[in-house]
Amino acid sequence: MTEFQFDRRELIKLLGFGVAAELLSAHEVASAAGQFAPPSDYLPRFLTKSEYQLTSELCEIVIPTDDQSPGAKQAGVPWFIDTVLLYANNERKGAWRTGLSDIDAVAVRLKGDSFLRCSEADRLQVVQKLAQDEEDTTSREGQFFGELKALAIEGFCLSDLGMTQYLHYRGNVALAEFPGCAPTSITGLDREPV
Amino acid sequence: MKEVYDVCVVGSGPGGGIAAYALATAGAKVALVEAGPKLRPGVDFNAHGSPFAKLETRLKAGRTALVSSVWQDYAERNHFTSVGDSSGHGLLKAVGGRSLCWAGHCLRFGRGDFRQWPIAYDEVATYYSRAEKFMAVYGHRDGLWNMPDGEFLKPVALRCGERALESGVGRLKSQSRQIEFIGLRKAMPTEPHPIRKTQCHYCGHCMRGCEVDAKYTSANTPIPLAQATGNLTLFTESTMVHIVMDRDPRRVAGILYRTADGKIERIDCKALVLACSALETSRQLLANNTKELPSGLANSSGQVGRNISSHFGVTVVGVFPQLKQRDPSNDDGTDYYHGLVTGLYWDKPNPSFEGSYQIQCGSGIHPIEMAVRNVPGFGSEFKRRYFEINNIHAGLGMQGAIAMSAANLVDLDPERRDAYGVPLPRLNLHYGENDLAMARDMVQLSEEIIEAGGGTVHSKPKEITSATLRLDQNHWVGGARMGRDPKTSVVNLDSQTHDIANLFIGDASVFPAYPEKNPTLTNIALSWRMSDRLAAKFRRGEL
Repeated sequence: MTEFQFDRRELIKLLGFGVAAELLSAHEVASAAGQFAPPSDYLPRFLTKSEYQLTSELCEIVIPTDDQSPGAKQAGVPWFIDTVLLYANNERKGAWRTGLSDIDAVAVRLKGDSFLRCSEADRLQVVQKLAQDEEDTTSREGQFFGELKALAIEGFCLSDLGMTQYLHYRGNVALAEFPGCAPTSITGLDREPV
Repeated sequence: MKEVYDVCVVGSGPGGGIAAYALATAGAKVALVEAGPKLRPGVDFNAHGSPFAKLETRLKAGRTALVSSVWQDYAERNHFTSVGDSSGHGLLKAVGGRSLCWAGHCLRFGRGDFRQWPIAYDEVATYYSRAEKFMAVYGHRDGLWNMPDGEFLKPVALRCGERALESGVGRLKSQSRQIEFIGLRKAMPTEPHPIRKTQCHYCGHCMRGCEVDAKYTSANTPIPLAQATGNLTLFTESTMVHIVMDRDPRRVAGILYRTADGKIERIDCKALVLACSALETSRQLLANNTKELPSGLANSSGQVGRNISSHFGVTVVGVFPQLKQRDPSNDDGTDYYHGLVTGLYWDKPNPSFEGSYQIQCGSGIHPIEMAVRNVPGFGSEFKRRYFEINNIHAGLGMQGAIAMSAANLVDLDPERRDAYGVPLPRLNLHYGENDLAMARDMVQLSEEIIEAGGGTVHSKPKEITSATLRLDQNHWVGGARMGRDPKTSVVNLDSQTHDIANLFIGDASVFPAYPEKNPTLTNIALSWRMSDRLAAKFRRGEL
């Protein structure tokens, strides 16, 4: 066998100009932050119109517009949930249908009417009850509410609005250096940064 | 006349990729056989940009992960049977294998770790250095005796959460506790490098798949360099279905593989290197049983599939009020874990368990994978708490090795076969008291670190049972352990099987013992060492 040795120039030719030239454009692609806002006139494709409205109202109560940021509706969370469910398996789809109808049943039981026909104050009380039951593994409504909340906050954090206005996130970009914990930004860390 | 390759390497992950490179540059004609396709970084996986903008395209394509992840999008599913405790078995069929989805952690095993091996640290140290220089590894020079320093590029800074833990560890250390906190060491260039041209841009997507090929993978460095020698032929979407024996039962003649369009083809070779990954290599050896070798290839010892271990752990989360005012705008870095608690029980063993563990430390706001998700309540208060807890949290992820035992092994499922008729593996996993004791100690130590760092514990496992331990399905080792004695081991000190002179193992199957440290760097160093020895045997006419 004959030895095959790369010299430095050879390596640069192979990896520097060949592969890396291709990667440079990937680098540019990676740095270009895509932007997306769900259509404001979106019509649900999996949920029925009333299920979608119920989901939207529940999401907005969980993640309201307030002094921290706009809320779930403006961020497109209901669109996100309907889209995720559209491509979900039948088991998950069925669980959401049942879960939403269970929540309506809680509203009827507590307030005598479906959730969407309740006043704002009554809706809050229904959600209060659901949130109380969230940790109760025997409560079907509580468990579903936990699932709805988890998907809603996940979608909110993935949304362009949630990322930037709620989480104050400016990442997902190409940096020349990672700054880490700026020494002046906090006190109480008594060792020099590594 | 049909080509006979000098060496056929099966599997293009960390071990197979470096073997192909080392052998091709040594002048051998190499066939590299990979079951999966070549994936295009930035195209087939790319977590950059708006997740919402890409959501529907991903879901429509049948993806279940909401954001691009090479692991979740391409990993094998339903390809093994779990026996005993809940198990996992990572396999990623693509050029580069699981080097595509590793986090890049490069921790040398130390002199203490090698005491349980038939080779000493000094025999591997040269290969560690060679691998680190080739891969572009960043890190600090920490001077730890049982996790030696390497050939490091400029390190990456810690985030505030990790610094809070560092300060907690510093306090414990000042009370004469045996404990260290270091910045992690990872394989991605942080400064200009002669081989690895694309520098890290700190987007944090390492495990989702590095879109720009800054993180070292077999696909972006050793395989293209091996191809450039003209000595490597890469077979993609080619699944090995059989190992062909020579007339001499102490030699293999080649392999049969199935092509993407279903044809069975043959590769003839003078030497065969299996680098299919631990567990999968065991399965292949066991499945290639014959009348003459009923217990499988290279298995006269009966040790194939035995002596396996992976890492397991639990997670504890702390919150640090002093971090409330920190700047949360970009915590991406080089994936979640930036810090490491280490040096535990290296010098003085814990009386209640054998071995050591390490604690990987991460923190910060990561919108595509928020660390703390279970926050009670709703409304503005919920929003405030959800942000705040994530903003001021630090996560401590334990990593210890499952104690090797006779009960933990891979064998063949008598019922289930893969699409090519090869029996699927059965993964027998039973945590023992040693594992549980180690996890309990980790929870207690984590609480101490958090409190010493000025924080409080946000969450920890309610109890430690085998059901609450989290298995690392990508850290399996063993199944073809290295040893001097052919009666008790599968490969010799050159990673050559005792039974079959021209069959070598180029993955973590050969690990005879497993410390707490991540396996990939050692896997690469050992595979490189094996390749040099294989090439030397060629030169001496031994193969």
